[in-house]
Amino acid sequence: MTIPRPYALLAELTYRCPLHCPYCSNPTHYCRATASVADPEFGRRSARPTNTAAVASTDLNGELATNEWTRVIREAAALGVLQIGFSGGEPLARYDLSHLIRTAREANLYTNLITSGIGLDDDRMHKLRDAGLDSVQLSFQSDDADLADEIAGAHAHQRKLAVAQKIREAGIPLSLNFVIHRRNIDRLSQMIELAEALGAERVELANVQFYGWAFRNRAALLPTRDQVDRARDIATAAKARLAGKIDIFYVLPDYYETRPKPCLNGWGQRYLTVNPNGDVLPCPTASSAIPDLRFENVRARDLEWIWRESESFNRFRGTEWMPEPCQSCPQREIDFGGCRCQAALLTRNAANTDPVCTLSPNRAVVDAVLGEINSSSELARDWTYRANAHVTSSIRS
Amino acid sequence: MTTGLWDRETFVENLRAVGTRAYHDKHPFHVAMNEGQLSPEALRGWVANRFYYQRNIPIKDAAILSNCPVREVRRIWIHRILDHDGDATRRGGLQSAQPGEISAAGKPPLLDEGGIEAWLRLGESCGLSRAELVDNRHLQPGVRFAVDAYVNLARTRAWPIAIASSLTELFAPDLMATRLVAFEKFYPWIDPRGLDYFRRRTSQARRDSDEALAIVLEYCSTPELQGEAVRALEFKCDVLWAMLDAIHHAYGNKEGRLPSRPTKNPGGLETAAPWSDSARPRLAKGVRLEVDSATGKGVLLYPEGIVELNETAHEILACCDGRALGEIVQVLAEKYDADVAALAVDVRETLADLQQRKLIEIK
Repeated sequence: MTIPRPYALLAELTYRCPLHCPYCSNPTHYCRATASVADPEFGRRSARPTNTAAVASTDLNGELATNEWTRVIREAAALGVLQIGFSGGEPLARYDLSHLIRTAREANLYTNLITSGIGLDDDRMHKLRDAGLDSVQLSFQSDDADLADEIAGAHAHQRKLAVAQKIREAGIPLSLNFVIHRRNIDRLSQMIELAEALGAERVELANVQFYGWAFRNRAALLPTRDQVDRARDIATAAKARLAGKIDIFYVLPDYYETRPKPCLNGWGQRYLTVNPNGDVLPCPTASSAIPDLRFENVRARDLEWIWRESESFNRFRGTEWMPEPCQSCPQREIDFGGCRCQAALLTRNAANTDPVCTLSPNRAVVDAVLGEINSSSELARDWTYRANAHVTSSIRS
Repeated sequence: MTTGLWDRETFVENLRAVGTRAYHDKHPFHVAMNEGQLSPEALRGWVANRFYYQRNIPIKDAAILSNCPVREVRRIWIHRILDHDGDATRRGGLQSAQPGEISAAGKPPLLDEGGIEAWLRLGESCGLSRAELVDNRHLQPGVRFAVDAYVNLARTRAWPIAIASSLTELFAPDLMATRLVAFEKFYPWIDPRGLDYFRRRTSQARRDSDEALAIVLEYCSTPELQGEAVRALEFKCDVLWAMLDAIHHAYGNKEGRLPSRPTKNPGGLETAAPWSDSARPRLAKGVRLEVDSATGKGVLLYPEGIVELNETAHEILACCDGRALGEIVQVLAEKYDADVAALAVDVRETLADLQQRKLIEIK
């Protein structure tokens, strides 16, 4: 089998985050240090140590240090990576962010910041722009401040509105990402109006996919069939109305599909993720969803070896690993058997066909979940907020 | 035939080229429909005649199944028959729950009624009785002839060729969605509950065309089969176009002349975008041009996406630094010793494609 080259690296700089969204895809067992959104200094202290702008690993509960990230970024570029997404947690919690963006630009990478926006003041915005940041994807919980703050578990909405304005003023392309679920899906029209008002170039209306905290909170998050259909009609109409002005992407919750999503365009084909403590993952959710897979760490190995040689990247590469009905399916190089994490979470075996596929012998698992949501008159409203551990030593300093 | 086997990309490109030229989304009757210009009589005429197509689709698909010895293909294909005829074991559109299950709310679950039933309800919403549709009283001879020819192709030709003929939905993934929006906007006299057929198809069409394309790419594996597949797709486009011609003739605007379809080779200067030599193309905001170190080729990078460029596109884009179009053409013509007039067309076509994808702006 020839090993392809990767195109994009997702750099999860930290699991720290000021928000507590109940659908966070971060691992549920990973409650690292965090700053509190009630703390007015959140994100601002980043401006202070500018002359050093480096983070030593010992400061960060095991998070990769600045010099480790710069090495990872250069190795990724040498491997063929063209795009880098800085994500988390909340990447703004890292005060070496602009330094890392500059490093990526020097390696000719296209740089995306995937952020809640909390902590992005004028000073910070200018630093990121001057470092060469190419685009920002800003997340929103809803268009309505009260609902948005309830979902985020923090007073964040008003600050996000101000941040969107700052991004526009800095002249950086803005994508908005509305995470959609049962509690906010009926406000899709209003969310699209907000995106128009904020002057976004691109809007993702992405239904929650069920990994991490979202998997735990599925009963409270999965929309009903009627909601999904109505939302799709609204998104389609808006797409036609705003064509040429805003690109709108509506992502269905895949439980309602009959064929699985082409997850990652195939395992170990185009994407790699490095998580805060340096583990290299074929998929951002793999570390929590697939417990029997052992991941390599950038502290022990270089990125090229991990991409090409490691067991974790090769386990589901290509089509040889596939079971029936995938193995003989003409779709096998269209959807690649779907999502390994979903197979693991729903069937306890990552090598099974994604049970979203109606040809999967395990489709009944998905149908049972849908049956419950769509036939019950009393739907669960409570969710567990993403837990964030308390701020530790040097972060607070 | 001396042509060799096309690689997958070329094959797909050749299939898509058929749609660009001949798919019925460009038929004036369709255009008028989506612009809200049809009278209720014309719309009812379309619904009644199109029903003959709907009711024959499962027969066509059963013909394909009966010709296909490959189990893996049959198990993918069979769902199309259930999608149209309905399935008592499935709920509307999604497979869940056991037959006969009573929901917590005390109502029987809504079973999947199928596309044909949904079309009958569309008819009722437009003021056509079920009997009127079922007994074919409005059916135009041209429509019957075209649909029967389509079913005949599925019965008599190799099954991968018949599947290729079904690829028309590949050309307009948003056609159903556009139609749905247009109906809601322009024809408020139609009960919106009657529009379920279009809602069903918005999600089914994409899945169906993905599946069919995968099968065609795998099983049309000789140059002869590939060529036949493209011709079968042209035939299917002709079927759809001829149906609309017949409907237009019977119910459309009485201009006395049927609309003609774009010809096969619409070449020449008039197809190029009408930019003057002083127009200034630039990369759009947020788009960067880089050289991919892994391949040495040019790439455009933009939020969440990458476009790999061929050599020509790379050369052109490298010149899009504020220079005027005329100057860019001159520079490239000198560099490659090419004819200025021909190059001016090529450059405009490339830029038009990139502009459509919002990767460049022209000022």
